[in-house]
Amino acid sequence: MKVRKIGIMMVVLSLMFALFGCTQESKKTSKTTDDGGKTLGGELQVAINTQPPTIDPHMSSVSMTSTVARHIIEPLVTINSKYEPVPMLAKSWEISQDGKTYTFPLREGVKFHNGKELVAEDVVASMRRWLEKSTLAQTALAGATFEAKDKFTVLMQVEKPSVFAIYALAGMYQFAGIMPKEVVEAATEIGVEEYIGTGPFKFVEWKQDQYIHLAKYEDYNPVDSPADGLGGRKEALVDNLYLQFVVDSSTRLAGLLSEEYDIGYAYEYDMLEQLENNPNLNVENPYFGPLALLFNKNQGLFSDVKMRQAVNAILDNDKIAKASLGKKYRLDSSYATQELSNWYSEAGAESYNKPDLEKAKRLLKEAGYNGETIRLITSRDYSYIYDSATAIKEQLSKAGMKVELEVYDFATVIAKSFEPTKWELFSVGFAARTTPLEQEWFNSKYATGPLDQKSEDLIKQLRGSTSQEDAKKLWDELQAYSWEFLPIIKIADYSRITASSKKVEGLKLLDGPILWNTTIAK
Amino acid sequence: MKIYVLKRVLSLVPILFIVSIMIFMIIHVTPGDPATVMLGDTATTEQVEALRNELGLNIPIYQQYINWITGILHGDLGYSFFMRQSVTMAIISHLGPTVSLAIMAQIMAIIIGIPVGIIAANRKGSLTDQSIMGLSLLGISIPSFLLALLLILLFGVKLQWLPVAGYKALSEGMWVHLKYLILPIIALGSMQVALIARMTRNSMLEVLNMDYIKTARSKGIKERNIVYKHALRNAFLPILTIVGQSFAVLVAGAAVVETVFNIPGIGQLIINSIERRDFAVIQGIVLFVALVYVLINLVVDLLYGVIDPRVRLNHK
Repeated sequence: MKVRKIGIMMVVLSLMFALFGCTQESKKTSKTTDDGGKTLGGELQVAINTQPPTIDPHMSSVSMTSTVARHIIEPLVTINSKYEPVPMLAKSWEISQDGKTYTFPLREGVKFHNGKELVAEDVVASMRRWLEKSTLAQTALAGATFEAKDKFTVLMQVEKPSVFAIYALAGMYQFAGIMPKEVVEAATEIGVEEYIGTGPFKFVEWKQDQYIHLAKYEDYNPVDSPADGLGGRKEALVDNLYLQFVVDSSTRLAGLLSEEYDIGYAYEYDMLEQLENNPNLNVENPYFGPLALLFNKNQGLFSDVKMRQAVNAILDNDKIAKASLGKKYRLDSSYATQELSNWYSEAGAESYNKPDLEKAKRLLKEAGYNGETIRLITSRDYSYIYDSATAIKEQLSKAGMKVELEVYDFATVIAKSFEPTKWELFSVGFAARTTPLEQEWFNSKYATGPLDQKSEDLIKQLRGSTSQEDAKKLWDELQAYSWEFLPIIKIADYSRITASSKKVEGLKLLDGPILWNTTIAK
Repeated sequence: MKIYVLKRVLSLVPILFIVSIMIFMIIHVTPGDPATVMLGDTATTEQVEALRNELGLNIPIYQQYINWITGILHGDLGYSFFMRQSVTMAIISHLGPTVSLAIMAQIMAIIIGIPVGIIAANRKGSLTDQSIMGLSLLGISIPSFLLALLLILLFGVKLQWLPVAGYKALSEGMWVHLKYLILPIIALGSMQVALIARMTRNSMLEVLNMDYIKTARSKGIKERNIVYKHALRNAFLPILTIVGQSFAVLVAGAAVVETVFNIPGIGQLIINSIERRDFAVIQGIVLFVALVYVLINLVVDLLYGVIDPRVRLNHK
């Protein structure tokens, strides 16, 4: 009898679960296939490694925010594959004689996803909000103002002429995306309420912790020049785009191998061989930016330049890179990766990756290092960060420094790095910026703390330069000096490994996948 | 009996209160700030401060706690700025997969674990018994994430019979729903199968050696009747305890399995919320799970009474 009661309970429980299951609504999208060969339409399943905190491009400098948002929202000016500014929603730009007025004629006939035509007012409203929110804008475009000259012309006034102004407008992170005026005005401190732009894909749905669904924007109005980087002709070639959040990298791998996903992003470095040896996959790993060792210059041991130079004389960058990035790294002293053709520089290379233990011991002695404990903070959330930290620890310990590894989750490490009393060293990767001056460590408010007077003076001069040639010369000087002053130590260039099914064609990468002009054959 | 139930329910209040204080303290002592996570580490100080104000993080900590508790008493668990929805909605929308997973894993554990345990007890010392016990030892020892990865490799990648990741709701069809859950259920449930099988075997062995069973045997009652009618019911109390406890373990274990199989359940929600320092959601889930845990224990206690009248009498 009683056993039967339990049976009944089991049935009730099963019904309960069935009910819960039913409350989970979700749309079924059928894969529409077209004629054979290079098909249009269909859907693309892309596994990305993290859910962005928001896809409002003005709000956050987190790179995944931009990687997703750039498919929906477009800026006036963007960058090509060489990180050079090129027009997007602006037809072109013109700079006045005194270098203080920028005129942007807009492309006419561009429509937002809500059907409204893009006009100068939308640009002005968006740019004003962006100026308020973006750190980059506040340094490179301090005091800038925007106004509408007529329906399709926008003027930007800057206080001081600078070659960096246009780079800031084209910046890839926390980018100056143009949204309709009403959307911008309705935005709160936590971001815009709707994601509406002019991009080749429109926003459909954000299923929390599962995916972001974008769909082809039928009325998209492309630029009339060949596609290059984030600029040029864009076209959504698939009807539906699913950006699936798959945090675990082995799940991203298994999902790609079983054709659950068409594209997978940010694989572990030790998966590279397995991916490359698979005949059904294409693997792309363009260089992404510098892996660097950060010093806490606010206080303590590493506010002394001799201590930093001692560390630089100890480190064998090749070994650190190999331990953390497998076989995919590039030893290069340039702060700007080779891809940034306007800024690549070999200045200061003679101080890069030159381990010299005698020199290091001398410098340590001069700095008065007396076996004090050095806290190297790190996180296992990204294995390359942890692996680089253990390699650095080993090398420093061999040279007689007392290094302790403090391991936290990533959010904690970032929080700690902004507390000057909590750490001495931290190794982490950075994305390439449109100009190397935008790298975090040149900002004295960043975790690494203040620079010296000479660096600050050079930066000031650099910001005031009005031609690319002048700017490049000063940049060479700043980089050469930085290899003496060592605000950080660049270890190597690192990549993000992306793999896609052989059925996927046209995929390009620029810090994350570019999913317009990408097709999938069925 | 009614008084007993009432007492038990009332005793939940202090437990949940203590849990609420502890979780609130742990979260706010942990470094990391939702504003910085959302804005990125190069955000301006003004922007961070503005967002912190918006999130209510700039008021004194005790005041934040009082606000939170007051909200809960009004049935409001708070609001998640990352998810742009109320914590209650966030929990409900992530509950389906976890409940599906936990219940099916439990069903699998009971359907396989109990009969297998009975068989082993019946044939104590035989090859069957030894192999069952050997397998169950393996089941208890193997970590669920390892089993999950092995299953993915075999059934997902090599044979391509089942999807390796993701989740489809029941509304898309029973088979679609199950297809995505089979591997996670096995990964999550096998440890419970093993535990229940072992517990059933031990419990049955103890009962089968009792005098009243011997008496029954001597009266010539069929062996099947002895085992299922007389022995099993008496052996059931410890099994039920294990089943109840294992349900809580399943919810905890779901966090690992949900991560590996990318299932958007409560386990994944809490891990993601911790990573993004979404305080309201973390607090809400921990409180919710504590409540479920306590309620399951209560139900198990009440079920003792259903199965064993002596338990009921004791509480009168």
